[in-house]
Amino acid sequence: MRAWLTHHLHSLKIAAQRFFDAPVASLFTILVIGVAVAMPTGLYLLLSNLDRAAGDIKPQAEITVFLKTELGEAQGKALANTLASQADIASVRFVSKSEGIEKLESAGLSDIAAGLPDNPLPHALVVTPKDTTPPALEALGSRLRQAPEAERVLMDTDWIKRLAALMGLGRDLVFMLSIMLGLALAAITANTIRLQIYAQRDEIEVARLIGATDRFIRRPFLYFGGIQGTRRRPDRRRPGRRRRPSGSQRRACGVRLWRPVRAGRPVRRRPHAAAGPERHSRLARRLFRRRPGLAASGKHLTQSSSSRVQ
Amino acid sequence: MIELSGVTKRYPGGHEALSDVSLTIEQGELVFLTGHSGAGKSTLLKLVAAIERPTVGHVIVNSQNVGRMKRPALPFFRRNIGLIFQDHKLLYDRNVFDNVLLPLHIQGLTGNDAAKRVRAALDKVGLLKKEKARPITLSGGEQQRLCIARAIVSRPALVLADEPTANLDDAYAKDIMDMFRAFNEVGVTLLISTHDQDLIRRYGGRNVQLAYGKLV
Repeated sequence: MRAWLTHHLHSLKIAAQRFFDAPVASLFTILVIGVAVAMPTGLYLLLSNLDRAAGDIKPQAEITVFLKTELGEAQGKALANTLASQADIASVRFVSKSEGIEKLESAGLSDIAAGLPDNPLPHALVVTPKDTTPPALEALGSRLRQAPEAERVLMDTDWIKRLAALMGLGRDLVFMLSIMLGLALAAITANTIRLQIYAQRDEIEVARLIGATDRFIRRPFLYFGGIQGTRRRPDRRRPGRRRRPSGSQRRACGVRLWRPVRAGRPVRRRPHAAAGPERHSRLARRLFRRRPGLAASGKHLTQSSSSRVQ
Repeated sequence: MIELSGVTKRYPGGHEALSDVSLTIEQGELVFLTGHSGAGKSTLLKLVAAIERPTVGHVIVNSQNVGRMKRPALPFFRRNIGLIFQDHKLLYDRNVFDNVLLPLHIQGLTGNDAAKRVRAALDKVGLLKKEKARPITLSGGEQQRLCIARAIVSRPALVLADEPTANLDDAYAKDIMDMFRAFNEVGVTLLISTHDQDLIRRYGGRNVQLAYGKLV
């Protein structure tokens, strides 16, 4: 059991080492995975935000019922009261003829209003429904249409319907995109690991000859795939923050940038890479040395802000 | 220990590397396999190590029929055999110590026990002081000795060596042959292929000669 555990740990270590030994290749794979995951996620986020924004507007959905012209103001108000008491109606506002013409005038159509011999507008009721989902609105609308007092019923539900349809389409698109990108992701990871296998052919061959089981050989590769999958998460979660690379990362940056892969020939690691991390630490140090200028400017900023506080 | 009966190996394309070879090797023997290049020495070793399967006939090693062995059983069979290659087949991405550790690691041996055995094997081949070195920095003879250390670290009862002294000068070759004789004295069965007749005359083990895929 302990041997088995140490063995797994060892496989994990090997996988991590390989990962940091080829930083650029690994980085690109991570980038691709990141984009592939971020795209559907971002779209979904956009969609759900739109959905919420649409949800804020929905309660304002109103149905305007124009009453027949022969009906008087009293009859209209009575109808408004009876409608207001119905279960699926939140409120009913009575808009009289005169109110209607006033609105028309204030909307900049006073010339037309003035030209009219008398007020041609009917009384109207503005009904605010309780349930603003399209089917409920539709049901209420058709009921109001059947009322004998109603001349015409205007609903502003059409755009809600259209929005809902658009949202549905968007959701379907995101779903399809996710599936496709998911497939692409699997293909990319598989391809990276295939390249890895190609690069490690010597080792696989030797291990086979010495008596390694297939599982033993496969394990580091599986771990490698796992590391690729998990590595992107911390980088994505904090996009604004740049972390100082860890010791192994810094060392890894000095090691060969890419590994030549020639078709048809076993790839052997280059001798200079075999010289170990010590050889590259100097380069790494130079690459990652803190810039004195930057440090000074940072100090200056903190000092000035603290003096302002005083 | 090893029994070949009527073994023929035909490679795809029709080339017949071995034809109707019958051979028995007892436990604890030191056997030299000689012949011109292309005589089938390497093929014979590959058949014994289950790297290739015979087209006709049986190869029986440790009373196991190697030709009929199923794939999952192969790794466990190979752990009982030490393989030494002409081109060393060392791993250049790790140091000497880790190269020798690999067979033990594969067998699930880790920690102090494994380290002790690795150092014992390195001591035997005289590379103890170079355990931290990378194989690429070693000379040809040292690389060959490292390959031998890797082959014997798991204490196999059978060691197969394919042209172990081919690329080495006489002094190195003598070193390595002495080493082989020492292993043989503690009971290891050795099957060594070589085209160096001088060597055999000097060490005088059993000589099996192959010519054009047939025993002479």
